[in-house]
Amino acid sequence: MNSLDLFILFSTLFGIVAYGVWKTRHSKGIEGYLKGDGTMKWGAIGLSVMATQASAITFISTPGQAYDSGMAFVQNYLGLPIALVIISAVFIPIYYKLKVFTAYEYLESRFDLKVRLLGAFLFLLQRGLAAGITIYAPAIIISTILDWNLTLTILLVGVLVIIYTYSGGTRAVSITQKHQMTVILIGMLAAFAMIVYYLSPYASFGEALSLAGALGKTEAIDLDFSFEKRYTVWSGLTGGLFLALSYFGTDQSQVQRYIGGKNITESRMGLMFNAVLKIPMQFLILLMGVMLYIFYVFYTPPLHFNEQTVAQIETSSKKDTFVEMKANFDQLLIDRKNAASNFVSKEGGEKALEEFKALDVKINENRDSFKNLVAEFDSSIKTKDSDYVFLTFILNYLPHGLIGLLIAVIFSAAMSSTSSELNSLASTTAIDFYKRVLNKNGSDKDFLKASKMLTLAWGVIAIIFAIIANNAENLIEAVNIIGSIFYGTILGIFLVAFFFKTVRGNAVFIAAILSEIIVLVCHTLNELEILNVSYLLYNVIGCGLTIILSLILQLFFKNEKI
Amino acid sequence: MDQEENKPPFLESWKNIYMLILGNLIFMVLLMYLFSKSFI
Repeated sequence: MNSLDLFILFSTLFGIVAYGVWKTRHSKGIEGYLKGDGTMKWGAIGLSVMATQASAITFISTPGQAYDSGMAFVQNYLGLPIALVIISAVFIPIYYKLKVFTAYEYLESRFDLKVRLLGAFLFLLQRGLAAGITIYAPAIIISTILDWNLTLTILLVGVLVIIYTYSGGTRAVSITQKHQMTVILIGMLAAFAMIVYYLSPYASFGEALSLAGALGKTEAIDLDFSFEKRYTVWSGLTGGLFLALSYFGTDQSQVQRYIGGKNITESRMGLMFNAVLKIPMQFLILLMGVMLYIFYVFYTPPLHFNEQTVAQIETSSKKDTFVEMKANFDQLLIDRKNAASNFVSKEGGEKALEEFKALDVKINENRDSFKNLVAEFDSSIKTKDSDYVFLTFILNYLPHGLIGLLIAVIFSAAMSSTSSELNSLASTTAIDFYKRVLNKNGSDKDFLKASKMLTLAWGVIAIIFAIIANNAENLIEAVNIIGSIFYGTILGIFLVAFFFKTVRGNAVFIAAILSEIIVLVCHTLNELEILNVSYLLYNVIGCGLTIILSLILQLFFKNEKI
Repeated sequence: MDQEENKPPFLESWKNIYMLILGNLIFMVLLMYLFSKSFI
C-alpha cells in the first residue's frame, strides 16, 4: 500500500464517519436515537439491512470459500426470500401495531415480563459475543497481510464505530450504512472487472467459466437429497429458512433496521429489496472467488496464501522439504497453465481438459501436503488459508488507489455490521432492562443518556473481546456457531408467540430454558467429539424443542391466565 | 393503520408482491441450475 491507497482508505472511512455525525447532529430524544424518528425510506432500510448482514467476513471469506469449494454455498441463501416474506406478512404488522423499540417488547405483551427478559438476555449474550468477532475477524487478517499492529487495527475499527453510533444512534447507523454499502458495491464490482480484465489475454469470460466448470466449481445448484452433502437446494430451503427467519425476524440488530421506517410499506419494501437482491449479490461474490481460481491458473499463486506461515516454514527445520515441495508445485503450475491454454485454444481438445483436471488435483494435493507439513512443524499454527486468497490478490495485482478502495470495502463492511450490533445491544439493554426493570419512571432524557452510555459500554466490551479473542480456525464458522446456539431457542419463543395462541408465559419460559440447556449440552458433546451434529442443526433442535416442550408443558399450566 | 399507507407502491396488494418475490426465487434457482449445467 502506498500513500495514495492510505489517502483513499482513510478519507473514505473518516469521511463517512464525519458525514454520519454531522447529519445527525440535531437528533434528540429517545425515539430519534433508537428508531431514527421514523423517517427512513425503503431504499435506506434495504441497504441498511443488507449492510448489517454483510460483515467484513462476507467479503474476505466468501471469495476464498468459492476458491476452495465452488459456488455451492449460494444455496444457503435460498430460504432467505421466503423468510423475508413471512416476516413482512406476520412479524412487521405486529411490531408496528405495538410500536415497539425492540422485538422482545412484543414477548411481554404476548406472554409476560420474564419471557421478554429471557429473549432479550439470549440476544445480548449471542450478539455481545459476535460483536467482538465482527471486529476481530477482519482485523486479524488485515493486520497479518499489511503487517499492521493487531490491537491498533481493532481500535481503529472499534473507535470509529463508537463515535458515530454513540453520537447519532440508529439514524447515524443507517446514513453511514448507505454510503458504506455504496463503497462496498463499487469496490467489489471493480475487483470483479479487474479479474476478468487480467484474464482476457489468456481466456475469455466464457472460457474461464468452462475451465471452472470442468473442475466442478460452477455447480451452484445441487438437487441431491443426500444428507451427507453440506450444501444442497433442500438444506438451503429448510436450514436457510430457519436461520433467516430467526436472524431477520428476532435479532434486534436487524429488527431495529426496519422498524424505524417511515411507515409499514417502507419497512416491508426494504425487506423485499433484500429478498430480491441478496441471492444475486452472494452469487456474484462467489463467482468472483471462482474467477479468482481461474485467474491463478494463468498467474502464479503462492503454495500457501498466508505469507507469515510460509515465512515460518522457510526458516524452520522443514525448510528442505518445503523447497522440494515448492519446486514440484511450481512445475505443476506450469503444466496446468499449458494444459488450460491448450484447452482454450482448442488445440488440445478433451485430452487437454482431462490433463488440466488431473494436474489441478495434484496441485491441490500439494497444497494439502504443505498444510500437513505446517501441522507437523507446529500444530498450533492455523493452516486454513482461504481467508487470505482475496486480500492477496488485491495487494499483489490491483493498481494503487484501487487497493486503498478495496481495503476501505473491508473496513466499511466491518464498521457497518458492528454499528448495527452496538446500536441494537444498547437499545435492548436500555429498553428491556433499564427502562422496564431498573428505572420505570425515568424521563426520555434519562433513557437517551442511558442508551448513549450503553452504546459506549458495549463498544468497549466488543473491543476488549476482540483484543483477547483467540484466532479461530474459521471465523465465519465461529460467528455462525455462536448464533446457532441461541437463535433456535429465540426463534422457537417467537414462533410459539405467533402461531400457538394457547401457550402462555410459564410454559414457554421453562421450555426455552430447557431447550437452551439441551443445545448447550449438544454443543459441549460435539466439542468433546462424543457427538457429531452439524451446528446448523442447533437452530432446528432449539426451535423444535422450544415449540414441542411449550405445547407439552402448557398441558400442566391449564389454569394459567393470559 | 391507514389502509393507503399499507398499500404496496405497485401490484395493488402485498399478496401479489409476495407472489412476485417467490416467483423470482424460483426463476433464480432455475437460472442457477442452468448455469451449473452449462459449464460442466
